Amino acid sequence: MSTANAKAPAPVIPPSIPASLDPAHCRAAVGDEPMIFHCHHYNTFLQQSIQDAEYIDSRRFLVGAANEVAFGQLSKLFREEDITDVSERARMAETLFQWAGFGRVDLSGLTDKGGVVETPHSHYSHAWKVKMGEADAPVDFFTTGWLSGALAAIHDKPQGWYSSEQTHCIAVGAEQNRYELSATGEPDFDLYKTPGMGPLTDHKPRPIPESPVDYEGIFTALTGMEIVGDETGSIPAFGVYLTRHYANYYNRISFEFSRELERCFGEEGVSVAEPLLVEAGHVCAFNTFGGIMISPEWDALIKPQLKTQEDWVHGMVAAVNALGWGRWQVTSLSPDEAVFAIHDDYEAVGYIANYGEAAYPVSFLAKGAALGIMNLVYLGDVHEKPTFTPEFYQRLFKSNDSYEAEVLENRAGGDEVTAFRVFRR
Amino acid sequence: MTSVYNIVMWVKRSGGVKSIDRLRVKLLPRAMKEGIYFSKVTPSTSCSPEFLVALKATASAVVGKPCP
Repeated sequence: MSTANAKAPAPVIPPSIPASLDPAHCRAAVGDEPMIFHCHHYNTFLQQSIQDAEYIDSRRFLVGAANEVAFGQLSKLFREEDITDVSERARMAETLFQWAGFGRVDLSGLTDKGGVVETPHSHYSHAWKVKMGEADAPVDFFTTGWLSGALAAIHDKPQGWYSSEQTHCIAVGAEQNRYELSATGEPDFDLYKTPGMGPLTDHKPRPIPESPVDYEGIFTALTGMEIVGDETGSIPAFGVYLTRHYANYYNRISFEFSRELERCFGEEGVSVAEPLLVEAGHVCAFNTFGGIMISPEWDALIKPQLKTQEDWVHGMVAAVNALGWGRWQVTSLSPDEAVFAIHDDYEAVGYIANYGEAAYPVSFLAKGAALGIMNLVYLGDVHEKPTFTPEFYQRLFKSNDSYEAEVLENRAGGDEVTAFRVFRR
Repeated sequence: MTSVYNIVMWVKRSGGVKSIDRLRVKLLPRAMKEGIYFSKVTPSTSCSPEFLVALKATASAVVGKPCP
């Protein structure tokens, strides 16, 4: 039998991810879902803070929020890209998961009845083990919910068609994660409808102090970098594991957490939730911003523009604009205090879209991140490339010299922007 | 340590940045039942023996070493 004329099997080319960039709003999206960069420190700290409230059933919204974004995004992508074949849809979902740095999943074992997914590559489980140590119970609520939303979108089922459970977890000591999905028609989590991009405004940038920092050039260079998942679905960069995560996921889990505490305990509940969510912003700034500011990429691209410590603040703010968090500006700046104005910060936009106007400021991450920039530059002398240890973290955020912040404007409460005054204690 | 105030101060001194906030969120329902607001704890704040036991155990857990 001759094989001379037989065609070689077509190479498997992963589908490309139709990501779009909206420079006017400093946002990126896939399938109408705003995608933002965050690191494993933030992801695990935020989840730990929520789970510390053992008396609320956080699994319902941790899983439900992931189901929400996966279902909304993939349903839209399949429609827009006209992908109707089930296996092609599954490949798109697998590729998106890997691209975003969430790990790897093989969906070939799933049918419209459900099934099992096993993987040794999970961002949340690995990150938990690395940062928090061994866990008592499975920790990957994100993938658990994401799989149920993805499978429903793949098979054109209602959003809550598949219940989903993680039965094995690397963070607990298993060799790989295992998730079981069943077509029960009754979700074992809360169902939410994603707000998509949310209500964005026309940005009217405010005057800023003179600076040699090339904001537009930095935005263009950073958003042009190929920061995507590797063969294990990881994005090791700037000394952390990055994810291209869902703004609407963070918003849902943060706000459901604070609203549940408020529902149960009134103002005291909010006052307990807020510092934890702001602290998550410190964690993020310390690790991700710190990592960026001591990176070779910073040295090559941004550092040559910087002469003063004020320039370092401007340089970092310019870099933040490439993270998808909205348009950040620093409108006044000295070693003693600064004002940060943020147009369409993702937390405020998401809150308004999901719950309407907020009765109190809700841009917790942004507040912690603004504090982090000032602490890193003026207190931590980040230009000297310090080592990012827990002791250094303590010194930056717990000393008598650490900065404080007050909210000047609250976009979620109806103001044009979210603005913070950050000042020395 | 036998008072809420001393244990809270110990957590602030000995724990990480987040320790006191973790203590608050973990004990929130019990603290509310006792009428205790961690942000307003003074040397004269009193509580039940059961709450003190829970407070000490949780303080040890969030700081990562035994509360004396």
